Amino acid sequence: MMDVVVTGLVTGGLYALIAQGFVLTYITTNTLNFAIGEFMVVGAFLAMFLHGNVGLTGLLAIAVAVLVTGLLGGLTYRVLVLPFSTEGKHDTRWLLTTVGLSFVIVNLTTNAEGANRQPLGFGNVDSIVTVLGERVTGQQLLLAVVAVVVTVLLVVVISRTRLGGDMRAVSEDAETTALMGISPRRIGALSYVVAMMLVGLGGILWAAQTGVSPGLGPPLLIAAFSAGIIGGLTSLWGPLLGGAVYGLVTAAVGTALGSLWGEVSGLLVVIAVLIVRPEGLLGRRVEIKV
Amino acid sequence: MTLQARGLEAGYGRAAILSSIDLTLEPGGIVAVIGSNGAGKSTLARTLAGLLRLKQGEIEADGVLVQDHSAERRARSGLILVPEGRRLFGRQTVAENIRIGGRAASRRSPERARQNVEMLLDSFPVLRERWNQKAGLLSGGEQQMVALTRAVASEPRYLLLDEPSLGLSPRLTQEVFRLVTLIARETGAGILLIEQMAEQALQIADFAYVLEQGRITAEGPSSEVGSSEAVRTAYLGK
Repeated sequence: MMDVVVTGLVTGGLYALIAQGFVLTYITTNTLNFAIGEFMVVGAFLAMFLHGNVGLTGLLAIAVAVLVTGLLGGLTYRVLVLPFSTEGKHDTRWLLTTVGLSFVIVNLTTNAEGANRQPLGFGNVDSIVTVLGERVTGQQLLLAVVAVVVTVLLVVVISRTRLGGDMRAVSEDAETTALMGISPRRIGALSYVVAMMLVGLGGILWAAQTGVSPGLGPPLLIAAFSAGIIGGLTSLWGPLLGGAVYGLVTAAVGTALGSLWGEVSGLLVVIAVLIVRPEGLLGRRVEIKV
Repeated sequence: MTLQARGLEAGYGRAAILSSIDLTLEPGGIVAVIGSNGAGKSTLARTLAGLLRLKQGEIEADGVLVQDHSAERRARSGLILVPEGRRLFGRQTVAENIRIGGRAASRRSPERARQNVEMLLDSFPVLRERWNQKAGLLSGGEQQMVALTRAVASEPRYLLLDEPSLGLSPRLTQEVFRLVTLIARETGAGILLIEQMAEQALQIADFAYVLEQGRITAEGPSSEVGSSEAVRTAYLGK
C-alpha cells in the first residue's frame, strides 16, 4: 500500500514540473504550448549533443540546453502564438499552430536521430533511495524535489517582486496593463522562456533515466496536461496537487487492475474534475461580468 | 506643446466608427468631448491611447507622431488613458494599483509623480483608509478615485478620461469632477474629458467638442457650446 503512495507521489513530481510549463504561460497569455512534449525531447537531444559531441561537462550541458530550449520557447511565442491569438480570448488559432509545431519537431527528430532510445549518458542519479520505507529511484526523487523547489520559487517571484506584480496585472487585464506602460507581449515572451526552460529541464532529467527518443514527449504531455487540469491552470500550486493526484491514482489503479487501467483512471479523474470543478481544484473560478 | 489629432478615422473591422476627427489639447487645460451613447466616445479614447489602430490620420504629441506607437509606449511618454469602467486590477490592493500606475512614469519623473499622488491622497483621505484593501471591493466612487490616482502616478502630460462619471450618482460625479479640476491645476496635464454628462462636463471644461455619430459636429469654448441650441436640445434636455 505504502509503496503505491510513494511511487505515485514521486512520479507526480515529473508531471508537476512539466505542467508548470502549461500553467505559467496560461496565467499570463491564456495560451499553452501543445508542443510541450517535443520541447522535452529537444531539451534532451540538445543536452546529449552538447555533452557527447561538444564535450561540455554534464552540468554545463544541462544549463546550456535548458537555456536554449527556453529561448526556443520565446521564439515560438513570438512566431507561432502571438500572431495567432490577436482576436481576444475566443481566438484559439495558437492551438493549431503549436500542435503543428509538435508534429514538425517529431518528424525532424525522428528523421535525424531515429525512433530508438539512446542513452543520455549523464545526469542520472544512479541510486535507489528509501522514502518512508519504500524504494524509489534517485532520479524520480530528484524530479519531485525540483518540481517543489521550482513551484516555491515561482510563487515567491510572482507574489513578491515587481516583475511578479506585472505578471499578475497582465494575468488579470492585459490591455489595462499596457496602459500602465508595461508590455504584455514582453511578459508573455518571458513566461514562455521560463516555462520552456522548466520543460527542457524536466525532459533532460527524465531522459537521463529512460533514454532520449522522439517518443519521449507524448505520454508525458498527456500526464502533465492532466495534472494541470486537475490542479487548475490558473494556480501555480495547481501542478503540484494535480501531479500528486494523477500520479497517485494512476499508480494505485495500475497496481490493482493493471497498467492499462492505470492510465485510463487518471483520465477519468480529469473528466470528473472538469464536470465538478472545471477551473481545477485550486483554480480561480472565472467570473462572468454582466 | 500640444496633443493633436488630425483627420482620425478608426473603427473595428472594416467599419469606420470615427471619421475626420480633428482635435487639440493643451497642457493644463480641460477639454470636454461630449456625446451620447454610441457616438464613438470610447473608440476615440482607445484610438488616442493606442488600443485601437487608426485607419487614417495622425496623432501628434509634443511634436512627435505617435500613431504607430504601441499603447505601452504612448503611456511611457505620458499619454495616459483612464479607460471606461475604470478597469482597476480588482485582485490587487489599492496600493498595488497605484504603484503599478507609477511604472509609466518610471523613466521620466517618478519623483514628481509621487508628490502629486501624495497631494491627491491628502485631498481625498478615504483612499489612505482603503490602502491595503483589494480594489475590487471598493465602491464605484472610490474605484474612480483610485483610477484617477493611478493615472496621476503615471505622471500624465495628456490625460484621457473615458466617461469617469459612468455608474456614479450625480453627487459622486461632482466629486470626481472636482478631482479632475484639481489634477489639471496641480499636475499641469492636459485633460480630455470624454463624457455623456454634458452639463457637468461643460462646467469644468475650457473648450468642448460635440461628437455625434463618429463626427465632430460642433466645437468652441464650453460656455458657447453649452448655450448653443443644438446641444441644449440634444444633451441638456431643454
